[in-house]
Amino acid sequence: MVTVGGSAALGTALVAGAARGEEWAAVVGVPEFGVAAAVGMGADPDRLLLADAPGGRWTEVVAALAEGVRLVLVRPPARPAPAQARRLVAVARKHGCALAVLGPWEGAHLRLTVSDASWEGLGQGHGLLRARRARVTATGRTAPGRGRSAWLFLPGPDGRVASAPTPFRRLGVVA
Amino acid sequence: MTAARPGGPEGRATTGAAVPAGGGRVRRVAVVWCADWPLVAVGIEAAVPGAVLEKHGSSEKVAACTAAARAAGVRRGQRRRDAQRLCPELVVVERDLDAEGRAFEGVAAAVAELTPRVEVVRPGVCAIPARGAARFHGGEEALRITVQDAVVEAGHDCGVGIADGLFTAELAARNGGGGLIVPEGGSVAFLDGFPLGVLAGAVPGWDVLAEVLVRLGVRTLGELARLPAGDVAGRFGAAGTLAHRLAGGVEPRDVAPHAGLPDLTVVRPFDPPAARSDEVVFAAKALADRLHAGLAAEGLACVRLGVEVEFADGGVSERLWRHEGLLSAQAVAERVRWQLSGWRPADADAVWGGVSALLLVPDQVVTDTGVQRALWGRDGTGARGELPERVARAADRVQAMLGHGALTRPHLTGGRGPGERVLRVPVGDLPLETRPEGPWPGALPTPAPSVVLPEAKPVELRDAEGALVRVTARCVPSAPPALLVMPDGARHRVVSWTGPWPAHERWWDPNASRRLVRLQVLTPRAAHLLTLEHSTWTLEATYD
Repeated sequence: MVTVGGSAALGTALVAGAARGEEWAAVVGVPEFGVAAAVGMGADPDRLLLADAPGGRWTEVVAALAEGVRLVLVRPPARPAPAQARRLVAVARKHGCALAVLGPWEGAHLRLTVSDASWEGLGQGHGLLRARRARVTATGRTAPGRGRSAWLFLPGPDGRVASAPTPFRRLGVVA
Repeated sequence: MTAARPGGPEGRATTGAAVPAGGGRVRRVAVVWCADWPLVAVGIEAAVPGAVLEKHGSSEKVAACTAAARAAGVRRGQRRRDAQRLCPELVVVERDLDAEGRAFEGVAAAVAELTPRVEVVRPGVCAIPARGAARFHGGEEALRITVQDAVVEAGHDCGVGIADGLFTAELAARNGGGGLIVPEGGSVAFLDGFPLGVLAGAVPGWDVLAEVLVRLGVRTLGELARLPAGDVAGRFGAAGTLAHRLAGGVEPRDVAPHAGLPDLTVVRPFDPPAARSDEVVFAAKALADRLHAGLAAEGLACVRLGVEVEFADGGVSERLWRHEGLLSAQAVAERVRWQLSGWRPADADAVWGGVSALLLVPDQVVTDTGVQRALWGRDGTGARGELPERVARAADRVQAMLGHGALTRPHLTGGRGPGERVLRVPVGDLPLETRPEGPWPGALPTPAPSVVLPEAKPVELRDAEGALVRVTARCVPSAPPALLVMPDGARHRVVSWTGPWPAHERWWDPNASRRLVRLQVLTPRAAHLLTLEHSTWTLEATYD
């Protein structure tokens, strides 16, 4: 049970981490999910299930998928009732499925947020978007207090996620 | 019994030995045909000008219409607008295949009172073996009248025809004002004068074939049948062979008379009996998968499937379903649902007494010459692999909730734009269109954007003076972009930018051709991919 905020790429990275090897991942209610980006981060596209418009039955859809896949990335179209939310978390825990929620969620175990993101590689009329450094901070029950944070390439020049060196100062754009 | 082929004396000399030998003996078939069934099923009477429409890509076309509409000039395949222009008072309804299947159960049940082996060819047409039944009822004409009366008593008008083979019998049912009898061996003479158009529903890929045949001067079934079979097969392949056989009054395929064939029937008992029909339909899908696995292991395909539903109180509902080619698991489940709802139409959800068992019986099997798999297994089933069972189960449940198309798997293909590279294929289907992987000049560089909008949204890109940025034919922007106005009205400063990259896509096709340029811009919030087409900037994707 993880909430993700501040960057869509972080959700994509979580899906990419799950949908490989023998495991599957599902994306619910995110029609703009960048499949190519997920594949760049190492996802196997054959192991993805996409439910773009789950509508009002999204909790049932997530619960059904949680029984089959390793991770479900979901953007709730509406706030779930507390009982519904608890049931969903229980189903996911029972089947060993991770829930990643884009947006807020009561009682999340872990909150991942992205801050201080900066892209490299773009100039004034030349260059290409190459890589992005960002600081990912985890807070919540499993990371108490101010939480832990790390600098990541999200994504790096090869499309993958990797740890990045801590910058000495905010990176400006190289003109 | 009789000879292998119903050989009319004339015209067969040229075809002669080139015709593949029809299997076994001639099958006498009685066909019940209900005119304009798609309209009857949705409750539109023949006297009312009405039409049902089916989606073909973006336009809606007439799938069937009533006699009154036909009199006004409405025809199958017309576009909605044309049909309404010809007949302004036309009642127009969406096609409802489910209703057709359900309503036809009433007809099938009425015919089943007379003879148990009713084969539903498709909603609107069903067939029974005529030889035994004719003996019992005192001749073929007596059988024809009895069947017709039974259906009319059930509340539907119909034509009944008896002939050698299904195709000829259906034509016989459609003609002679309520159907007629084609004597044994008389198929060739009967079919001779019919225009080629009657083959349309029976031969896959007919449109292409018909065009060529007409240009070759072949206009009737007789003329087609008199062409040498070998030449037809050589020039038109499998579809041509099928058309040629039908035109000559020969069964489309030899039904495999397998001796010692293993019993491929699959059974699903319900204990306790299933009280709701959706429970049975859900089980039918899994059962159909098992049936297909069993058939595939024997190298066989099933062209006629028997569905038997046993009820807790001892009743049995038995129905045969015809399908050229493999019935998909989804299609089998659909037919089980039709059959169940026909059993007790008063209450759609409740099943009478509960269902105690469901049997799928492959009734007619043929050697599977089916779809040739690609050599390296890249055609979908091979490389993409089957879903593991727990994933398939989860997918089934979601599809049962939201519909078949609501759960998809991404399929990566070639292409330039970020949206073009991903096809979303419903779980269980094979991708229809694939583009080669090859080089795509002007394709997006990596890394790929993490947010790809399903539909691009218009934005404004302005320069330092506030004027819209344009791009010249030589791909030079009119001024460096400085401000991006997002779809929601938010204004972001452009920190840096690159491009534009031109892409001239599908220039060979005037309808699909696109000329556009793409531009990456970086704002303090995120990086975006913008597209300029027809002097309008749109937001295509975001690097977030």
